[in-house]
Amino acid sequence: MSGRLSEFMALARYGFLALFAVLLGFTANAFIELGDVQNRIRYRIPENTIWAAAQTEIELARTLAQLAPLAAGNRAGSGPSLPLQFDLLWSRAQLYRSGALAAALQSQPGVKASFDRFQADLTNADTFVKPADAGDREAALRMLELLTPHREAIRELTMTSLNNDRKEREELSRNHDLLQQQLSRFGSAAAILLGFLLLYLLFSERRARSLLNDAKSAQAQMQKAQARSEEQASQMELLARKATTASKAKTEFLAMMSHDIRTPLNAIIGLSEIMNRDETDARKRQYIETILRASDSLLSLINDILDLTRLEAGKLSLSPGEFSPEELVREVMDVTEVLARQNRNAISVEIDPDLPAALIGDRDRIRQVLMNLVGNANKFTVNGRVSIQLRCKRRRTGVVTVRFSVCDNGRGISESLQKRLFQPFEQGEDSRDARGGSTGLGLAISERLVRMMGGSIGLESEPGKGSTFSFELDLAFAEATSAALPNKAKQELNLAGLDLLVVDDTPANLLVAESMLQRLGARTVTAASGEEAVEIAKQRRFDIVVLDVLMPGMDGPTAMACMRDSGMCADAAFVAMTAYSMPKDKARLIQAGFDAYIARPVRMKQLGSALAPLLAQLSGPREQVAPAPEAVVSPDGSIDLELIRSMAEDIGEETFRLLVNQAQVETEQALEKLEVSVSNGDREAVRQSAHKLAGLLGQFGLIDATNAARILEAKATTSALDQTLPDMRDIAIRGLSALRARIDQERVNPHRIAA
Amino acid sequence: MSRFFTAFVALVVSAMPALAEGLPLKVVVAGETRVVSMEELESIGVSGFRTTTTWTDGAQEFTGVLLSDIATANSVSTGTVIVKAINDYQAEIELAEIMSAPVLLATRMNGERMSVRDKGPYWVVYPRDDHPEFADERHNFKWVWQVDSLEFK
Repeated sequence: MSGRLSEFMALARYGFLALFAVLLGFTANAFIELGDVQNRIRYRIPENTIWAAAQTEIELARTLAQLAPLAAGNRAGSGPSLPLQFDLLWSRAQLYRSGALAAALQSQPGVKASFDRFQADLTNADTFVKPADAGDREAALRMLELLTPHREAIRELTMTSLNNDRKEREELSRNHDLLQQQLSRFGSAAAILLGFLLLYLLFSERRARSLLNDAKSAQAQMQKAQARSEEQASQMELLARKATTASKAKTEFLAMMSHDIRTPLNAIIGLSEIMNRDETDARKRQYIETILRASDSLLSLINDILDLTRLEAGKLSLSPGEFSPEELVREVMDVTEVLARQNRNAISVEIDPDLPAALIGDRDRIRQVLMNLVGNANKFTVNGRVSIQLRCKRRRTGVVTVRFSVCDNGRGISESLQKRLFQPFEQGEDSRDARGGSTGLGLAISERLVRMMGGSIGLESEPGKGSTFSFELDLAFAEATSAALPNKAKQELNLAGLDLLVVDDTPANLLVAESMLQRLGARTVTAASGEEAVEIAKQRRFDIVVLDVLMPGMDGPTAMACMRDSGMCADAAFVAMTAYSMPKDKARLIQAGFDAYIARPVRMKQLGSALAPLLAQLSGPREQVAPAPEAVVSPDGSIDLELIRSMAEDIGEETFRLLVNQAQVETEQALEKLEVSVSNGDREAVRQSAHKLAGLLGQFGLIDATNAARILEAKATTSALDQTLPDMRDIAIRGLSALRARIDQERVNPHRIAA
Repeated sequence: MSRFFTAFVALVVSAMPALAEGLPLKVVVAGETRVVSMEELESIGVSGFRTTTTWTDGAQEFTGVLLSDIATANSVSTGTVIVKAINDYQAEIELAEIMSAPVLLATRMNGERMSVRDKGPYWVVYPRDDHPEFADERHNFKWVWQVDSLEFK
């Protein structure tokens, strides 16, 4: 439609232009013609007609005027002589015989005839000029007779010329008017056309302008939209940044919170452990155990949150090492057994015989995942079976794909829940009711940990029939036997004979750390501030200095620097103690010059693993008292559990209890005897008593006490005994009470002596 | 060429003296009138050209003295010259015009002296064929014939 219209418009436009051109041509032609006519009017040749006629008439009149007196017999008047006057007249007549006038006469035969007659009479008259001029009247009369009749004819010629001229003028004028009319008509038409054209152009221009305006406004709108979208994008970016910042803030908040909760928790757990150890009242012990359980669950919650936080921040790093899968599974079983027993589940373990005895991986993380899966299986299965399977799926050179699976025949998991089970804070509908509670983080953490280790957790489940969680990991392995594995627990233990300075501004924490270190056999001195510690270190040498990092006044690193610079502790090993537990914090502290690092809450095991590497560097009696290689040590490091377990099995529980009582009595006696010997200065007696005591204590698996006794024995002949003996005595008594505690905790399951 | 004409004119003048007799040319310079004979006039120098005129049939050969030469001979180079005829007709010519173009005070047409009956003895002739700017009838009034006097002003 619009195409046709525009075609028509184009055609109309061309038509207009053509018409305009034609009219312009006509106008121009008319204009040129008009100019020509005007020229003709302007340059008409007056002398050719009127002028020539009038001049002829004048000359004739003058000639007649000259002749008249001559004919009357008088003298001629003034003016030229007759011959000259006649010549002038003659020359006028001659004008009509040649040139333009002669041509003009051709068209007027009447006039020409009268001129011819005039010429003939002039010729006749010419013969009388000389006589007439000489005074011949007859000649003059004759000339008058010849020339006078032509006055009328010449007069008529003049009038005719005038009339002709007027007619010509009129005609020209008419032509002129016609041309002018034509011109004005064409001009008007052209002007109108031009007007149309201008209107059209104006309209076109306005249309173009409006189109341009439309385009401009469209462009402006587009720009506006673009600006809006850019603004939105930047707002979204801002929101995203805010969200990221918020997420970061959340992470930092959680880390802070964990720190803040861990500090009091440190005191609660540590002191509860000590109280539990020393408490003999069964009811109170029950309360303390409840406190410990609650604290443990709170601690695991904090650890879970911290783990997830680190995982999400990408700050969790793996620390692979060599481990025994068999031992790992056993540990998991041990730990989760309480729950298994509560829900009356039978736990079975199945380990592929092809699986290498030693694998390389992050043992703690794998244990964490397995612990979570087995814990869940026990939690949601009642009167059922839980089985842990380790399958060797593929074995290549140095690498084995291990499939860990945890099977139960419990309530199972609905399909909808399966999909979001690995999301943080997702829980089974009734898991809150389950005993032990749940943070909902366990599976999320496990899933991320497994992913981080290069595997993925799979789940097969059917409600009512049970669930199977499994994950596969590619693990390197070493062709080694489990016996060759270093047992961290064994190395954690003995600080007997070492002097430790413990510095912490929180009295409860100080007490916990001190107690634990003492439990490990160390002789401890405490300081409540960095300044105090530096003062003490000037007077006394210590093997190890344990420093709280954050203290009011002088902080841990500063105190360390001071002690290293001066005093007697320049060679000591420095251990940092802090509730910050991100790997980078550790790295920072090690960089600051600390030899080791203990994360809070301080537990025996951590103390051991932190301090064990230092012991090798320290000289002293430590090397002489290495425990038996096969020993399985209690978490506090003072009792050889394997030994007492086998003793209890061998001699029966009741007898064992009696023996322990007996041992306590004997030990007390031996200690009294030692005191006497020491006060008497009888070194040999001391040596013998100590030897005897070491044997007694060693019999009951009291490792620390035994070591202390051996130290005493070794030192008996050389060193001052006043200080060594009380320490030794404390160690022995503590070891005995710990042993009693273990026996009291003993459960039906012979494998569950230690929790 | 001009020498040939001079010789030719001298021959003709000696042969037909009657024609121009009694009609000497008056030359007025700074109000002072001097009568010049045709011979005197032509002694300034004779020029000539061929041209058509409104009053003749076809082109004619004119010879005579250039008005510019006459002006120069009388030490005039600016102003106007008023050309008068025997019958008192007169026309005024700008000197600038005659100084820039060869305008002739013709004394002969086709080699012959001109009688008064033939617009003689002197006729102002413009070279309208060689100079088309004069081929305009607006210049016709300056073609004064039967010239009686030249008055330089």
